[in-house]
Amino acid sequence: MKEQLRQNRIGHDATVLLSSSHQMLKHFWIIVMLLTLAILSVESASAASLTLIFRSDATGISLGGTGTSAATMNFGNVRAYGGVVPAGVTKSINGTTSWTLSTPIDVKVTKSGLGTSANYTMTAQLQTSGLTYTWKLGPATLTSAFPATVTAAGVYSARTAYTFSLTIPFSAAAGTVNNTLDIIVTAN
Amino acid sequence: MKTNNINFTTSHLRAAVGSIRQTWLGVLLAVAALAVTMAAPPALFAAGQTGTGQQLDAPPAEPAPSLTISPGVIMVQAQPGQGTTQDVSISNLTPVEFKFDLEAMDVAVRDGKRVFVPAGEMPGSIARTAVFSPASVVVPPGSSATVHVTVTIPENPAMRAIVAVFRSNTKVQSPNGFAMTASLGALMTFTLSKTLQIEGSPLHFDGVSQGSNLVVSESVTNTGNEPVIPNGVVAILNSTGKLVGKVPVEAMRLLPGERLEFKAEYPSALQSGKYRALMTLEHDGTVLTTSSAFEIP
Repeated sequence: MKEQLRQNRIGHDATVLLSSSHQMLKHFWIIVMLLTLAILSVESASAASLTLIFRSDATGISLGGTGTSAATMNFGNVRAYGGVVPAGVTKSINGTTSWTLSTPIDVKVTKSGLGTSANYTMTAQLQTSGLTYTWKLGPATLTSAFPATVTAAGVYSARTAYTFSLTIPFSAAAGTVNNTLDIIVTAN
Repeated sequence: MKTNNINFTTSHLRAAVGSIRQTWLGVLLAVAALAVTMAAPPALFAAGQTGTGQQLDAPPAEPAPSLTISPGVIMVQAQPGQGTTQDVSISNLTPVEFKFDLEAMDVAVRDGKRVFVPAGEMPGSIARTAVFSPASVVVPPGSSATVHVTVTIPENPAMRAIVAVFRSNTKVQSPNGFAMTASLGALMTFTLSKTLQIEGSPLHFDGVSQGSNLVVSESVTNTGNEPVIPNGVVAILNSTGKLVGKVPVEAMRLLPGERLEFKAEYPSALQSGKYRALMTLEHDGTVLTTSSAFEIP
């Protein structure tokens, strides 16, 4: 009986030995299937996408919500002559007509799986009309009427600084100024 | 004794087979890992330009609290009169709720540059036909929303692209200040015919002084009727015609009428001498080659 068991065990091992190529083939197909599933899941997870965040610039005003897709900035109480402006904000007097507050803000757009998109277009638009003042982001003068092009070839994954500026005519009455800039990014 | 011999032989064979199996499995797993690595998405942090006002961040350990649109680009092949429905999703990984209104704009090309035109402003507007379902979405933190956009191609469309924009209608809390909110758009391009053509211009060289990296560029215009995405290579030949080196030219999408600079930077300084550069751009089986001589003093 013991011998029989040993022979059986030997037989079993022998069977394994003889069919090792089959086992390897089986392993091969199992791994091929796993591999296929892995590739499919990776491709599925890498659906082409675009992400946008705002960041405080090293030399600019400190943004509320920096590092997210919704940020705020507060210039506080400022006046054309005298007073102080927040750190990172520059005040300039434009002759006898107006004065300007400006600060750089960083925008970072990242892409994933968009191999054929070399860069991005960024436009900006005010959510509410602000015709009394002149609003600019980078080279674009902003209105609430239509999106103005800030850049037509933005660089992915780079924190790019754009100067936001608000020009206030001396003729404007003192008061609170607030608005929301809608930054629109599209892959090129 | 015979049995013992067999056992002895078998145990050695078993060990050998085990070793082979382990090696075999190891090789397969290595191949699997390599394949998965190759199938992984392209590097999130593509080679970006560094210069004034730009800096590259280190890859984040976890996703930034941001908005993401997917897909960012949709390329559609269709016929005039046909309709197409596409799904576009937006994910909100920020801690605040976002409200978006869906809007389509035509992407026109004026003086070689893209401009976004409100739907219906131009004759043959494609954006005017866009129907979003739903037309607005509220996306709580950590959630995503998918919108179906159906577009019908007019008989004579004036452009070949639109953007489907998730326009943020979010009121960011900002007493006594300014707020910025992000909107993201998906570019949809339409190929309606086989009229594909690009035209180049003489090559332009920057950094030809000795010791500088050479930048070869070519202004390329899409003179056909459909979007194209040329990519290619720049080959540098010396005065004897021997290949000195070649560098790839990044692919860029060109809408009809659009003009872009295709560039390649030679990664090392060339020695003084006379050279010839050939920029070869390929798209849809068509090749455009432009050649110019230059000299490094």
